[in-house]
Amino acid sequence: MPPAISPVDHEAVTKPLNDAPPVWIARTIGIAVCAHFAIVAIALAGNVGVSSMQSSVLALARPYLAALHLDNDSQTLAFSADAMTEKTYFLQKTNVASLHSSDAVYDDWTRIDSPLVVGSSRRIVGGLADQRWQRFLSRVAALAKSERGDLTCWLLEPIAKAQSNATFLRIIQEPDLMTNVVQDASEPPLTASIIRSQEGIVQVTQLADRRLSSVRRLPSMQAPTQTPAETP
Amino acid sequence: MSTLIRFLFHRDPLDASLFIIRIGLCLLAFWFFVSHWNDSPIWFGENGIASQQTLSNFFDTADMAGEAAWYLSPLYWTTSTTVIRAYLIAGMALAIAAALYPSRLLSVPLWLACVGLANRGFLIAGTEDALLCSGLAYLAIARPLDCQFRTVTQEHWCTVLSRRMFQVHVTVLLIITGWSMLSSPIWWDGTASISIAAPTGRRLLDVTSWVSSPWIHEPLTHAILLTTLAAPLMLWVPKTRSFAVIAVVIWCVTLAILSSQWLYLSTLAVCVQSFWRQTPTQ
Repeated sequence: MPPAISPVDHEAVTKPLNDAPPVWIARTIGIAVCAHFAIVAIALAGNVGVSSMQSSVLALARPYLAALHLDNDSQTLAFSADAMTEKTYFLQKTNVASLHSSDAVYDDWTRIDSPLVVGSSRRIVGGLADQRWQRFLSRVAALAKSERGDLTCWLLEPIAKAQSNATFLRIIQEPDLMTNVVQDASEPPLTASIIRSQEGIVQVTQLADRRLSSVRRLPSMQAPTQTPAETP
Repeated sequence: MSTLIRFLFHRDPLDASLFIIRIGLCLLAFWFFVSHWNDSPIWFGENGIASQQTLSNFFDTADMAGEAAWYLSPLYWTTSTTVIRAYLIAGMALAIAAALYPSRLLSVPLWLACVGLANRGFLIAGTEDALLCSGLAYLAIARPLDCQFRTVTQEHWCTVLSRRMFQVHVTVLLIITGWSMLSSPIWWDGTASISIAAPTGRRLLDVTSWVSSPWIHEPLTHAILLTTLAAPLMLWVPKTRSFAVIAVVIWCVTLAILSSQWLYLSTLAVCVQSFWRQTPTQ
């Protein structure tokens, strides 16, 4: 506890300091501080909802916010409405040839753990490495849900390269106390196939979700089950 | 304008020194660098998950290359594990040195090192990175002489400005967190505290059994929400300021236990010390 000091009356509180900056510097700093906090507040408020005007301001201020890392565009504010829907995700791989064959059962999927979340490292870093891995998976899952398979593929490609035998990857959501049966039984947010060429090029392709449709599926509309090379 | 200038540059003599904030933020920055030791090569290495090539392809496809170009970091120049770890060691050394000896020659490079690391982890950075970077920037504004463990009767205007930056940032953050909470029904129906604890796979402590009873999680949720809404006001009223600081620290500890976001909430708990007042003698 710092040592106590004598009380000072209101006059002294508002008395200018001896070494206060010149007025024009003080005014310039004052305007800059107001602009800084206006931008920070707008950026933080973007977690609740973004208007088109807000987006324009943020786009204009992005160099300032990004260069000084005052706001992370990719993450939601802690305890905001979006953050409250956060779930635990797992990344899994399998080496089956086809997901539609009867061989592809639950046991074929094995979990790919981030190599850094287990053991003593987790205790030392206070779970921060684990949180980063979960943020990455959440981001990939969110992109997959928003039909940005082209983006998820780039993010999963390094992992696919490291998993030499894997043919498919998927991200699943762990059921928890607050999820219901319907949510637990829903499709994984992401399932992707890994295509490996003989030249060693690895490509990841997100598989489309199976959707219900009001249109009757005619035989002529069904996707071909054979690759063009196999077609006689 | 004169009111604003008085607010930014004129010290309240009862304001406590920034000593606790300097020590706290430096230790948290040290923790931040240590936490990257194991996983940074896995993310930022040559074949890393967030390697330069992966990010380049990602941003080009997302048409975000222009925006992403502003996340500046020297770590984009290297994929070497040795260089990345040398950067982390330098960051840790700066954090310890800045905690032991107040100087802008240490606090400014420490802030820039933190920004560099946070910007490199663009895809995996969290809210704690942004708050830590902001806090270190505000700390670097203060005159080093005023950040020591002693009563300063004549603070430099830079130190007063630094304290005001901390105070306004904490207030803005709490206000917007409160607004954001109100937009989610779980903060109204009392289930928010158990919802925070529920994803046990990403929590250090599984406290769901502690808060499973409605008699626990509902009052806890309402208390957290009320503190978030009341604190920004109470922090600025001299009579309630000390009480509000203690309430916010308890709020941070409670949410940290529930959410495992220890670094973010510890940083917030340290930054709120900018409101701490010295005890006047009679």
